[in-house]
Amino acid sequence: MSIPLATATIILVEDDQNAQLVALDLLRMGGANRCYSRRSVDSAIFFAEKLPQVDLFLVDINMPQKSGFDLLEEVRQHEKLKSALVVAVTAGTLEHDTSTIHAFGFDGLISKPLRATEFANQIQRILDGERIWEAR
Amino acid sequence: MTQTSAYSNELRADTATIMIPLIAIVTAMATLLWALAFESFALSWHLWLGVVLAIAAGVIGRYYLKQGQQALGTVIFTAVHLLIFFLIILKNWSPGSMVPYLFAILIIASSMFTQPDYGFITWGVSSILTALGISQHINESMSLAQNIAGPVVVNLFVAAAAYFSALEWQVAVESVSQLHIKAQHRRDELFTIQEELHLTNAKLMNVNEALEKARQTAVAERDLRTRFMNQVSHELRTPINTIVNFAHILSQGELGQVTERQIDYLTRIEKSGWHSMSVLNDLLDLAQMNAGEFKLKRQRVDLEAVCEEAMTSVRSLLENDDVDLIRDYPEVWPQVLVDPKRFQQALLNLLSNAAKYTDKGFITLRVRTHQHTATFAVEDTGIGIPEEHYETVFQEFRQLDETIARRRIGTGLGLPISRHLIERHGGTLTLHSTVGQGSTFTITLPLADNEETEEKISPKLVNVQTIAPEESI
Repeated sequence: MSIPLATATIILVEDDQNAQLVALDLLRMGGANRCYSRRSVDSAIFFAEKLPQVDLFLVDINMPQKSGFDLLEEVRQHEKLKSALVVAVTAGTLEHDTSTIHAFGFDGLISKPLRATEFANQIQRILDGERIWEAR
Repeated sequence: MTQTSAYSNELRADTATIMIPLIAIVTAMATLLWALAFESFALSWHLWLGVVLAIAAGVIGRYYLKQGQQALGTVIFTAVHLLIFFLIILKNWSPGSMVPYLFAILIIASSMFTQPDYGFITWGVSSILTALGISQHINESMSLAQNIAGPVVVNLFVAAAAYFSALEWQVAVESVSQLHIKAQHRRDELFTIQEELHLTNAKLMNVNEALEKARQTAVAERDLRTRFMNQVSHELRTPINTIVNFAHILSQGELGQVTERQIDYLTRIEKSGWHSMSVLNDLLDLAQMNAGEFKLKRQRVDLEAVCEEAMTSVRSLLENDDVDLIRDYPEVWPQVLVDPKRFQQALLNLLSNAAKYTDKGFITLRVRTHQHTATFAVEDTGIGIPEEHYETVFQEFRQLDETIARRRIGTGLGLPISRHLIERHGGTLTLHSTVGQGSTFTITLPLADNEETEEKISPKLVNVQTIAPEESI
């Protein structure tokens, strides 16, 4: 079930505006065409419901109100969205973050700062079914 | 007087307290009845006196016994009764009278109530009194000796019997009381031990409480520190993410044309951002090491892949092509248990360190297997390190030459971190160098035993992260 980056529908859930711009630009530079961003879990879910298909959620772990964990839970319980990939993006560094996130059921972890030359490639690998766990 | 005879004395006093009034009452009753049998007081006055004396002896004897003066009480009682019996003998004796035999009661009483041999004293006194009393009734036709011989001899036997039985009784009581005392001692000892145990227990409870409190404080402090470090990291990584990536996006010309010079500056911004990132990582590592909270996930890994990845990363660090990277790998790779991420971090620190201080020549990564160890040597043809600084370079925040340090930026944390990482693997990191010719840093790790169980880790988790464009030491 490989999805090319160019046709994948990706929703970025990120409360920091700068981080949003960075991730979206890097994805577009890498060839992605259907990238959207929302600043909260609720608006991301609300938005996702209206799309015909969502392939990947890129979600920041640390957000006010609902966290990345909440998003994962809601997506997995969602009739329409439950098969979407959910990848965590975090600026946290705790060693156990990786194992916590892995155990919680995320499809991967990418840490900030994003690596400009690799980010789009990492996303493509995840879309290809690979699992990336980046401690930092 | 020992404690044990005090114990038998106590028992004797108890017996005497009951027996003395009883005997006195019997004497009083007997003398009273006898007195009533006489018609004139002139004939029976000594019997009436006997009644009064017997009651008095009973009361006084009991009084002194209660006061704890059992010898005095018994002596008064015995003396008074001796006197009563003597008066009766004196006034009413006739040949064949049984009264002299009554002294036996007093002999028994005195040996039982005081000391066993007191019975003989009473016997002696009673014998004299018998002789004195009977002598008043003796006439020419009678022999005194014949008349006193019976009671004197019988009473002596009684005294002897009383003496031996009292002695036997005393021995029995004393041995029993000795056992009793031993039991008491033992009980006291046990009580003492119990008390001490209670005390020790209470102390231990206190110590436990204090320890638990200290533990909780330590845990709370560690949690706070961990949260704080995570917060600091998060707060620095967020803006660095923006800086390095905006610079990158701009330098790629994504948002409009950029000049050569602008690209150069943007690249410098990006590199500086990544540099501060690696400094932050080093500082966090060091803080964790100092806090003793550094955990390794050691396992069997593809060492060649780990080394190759480090070599590839260091290639990008070399600014000119005058430096060759040489791989001196063995045909069969040694088996060592390492945390791939941390081992690579240490190796890369050594390699990038070599790259930083080597302007021309080569950097060699030499891997060797020995009998019990494996070595990973990073050899360079750089400026070298004088011998007196071999240890200094492993200390935190040290760079040898300030001017060089300024040119080749870094925190000086790479080598101390590497040494710590290798030591946590049970290995050593050593240095050999010749100034002007180059340095060799050697990692020595113990070989993994075949039986040694490796930590269970999902292979999916092992994804050795690629390195930032500029990793400093």
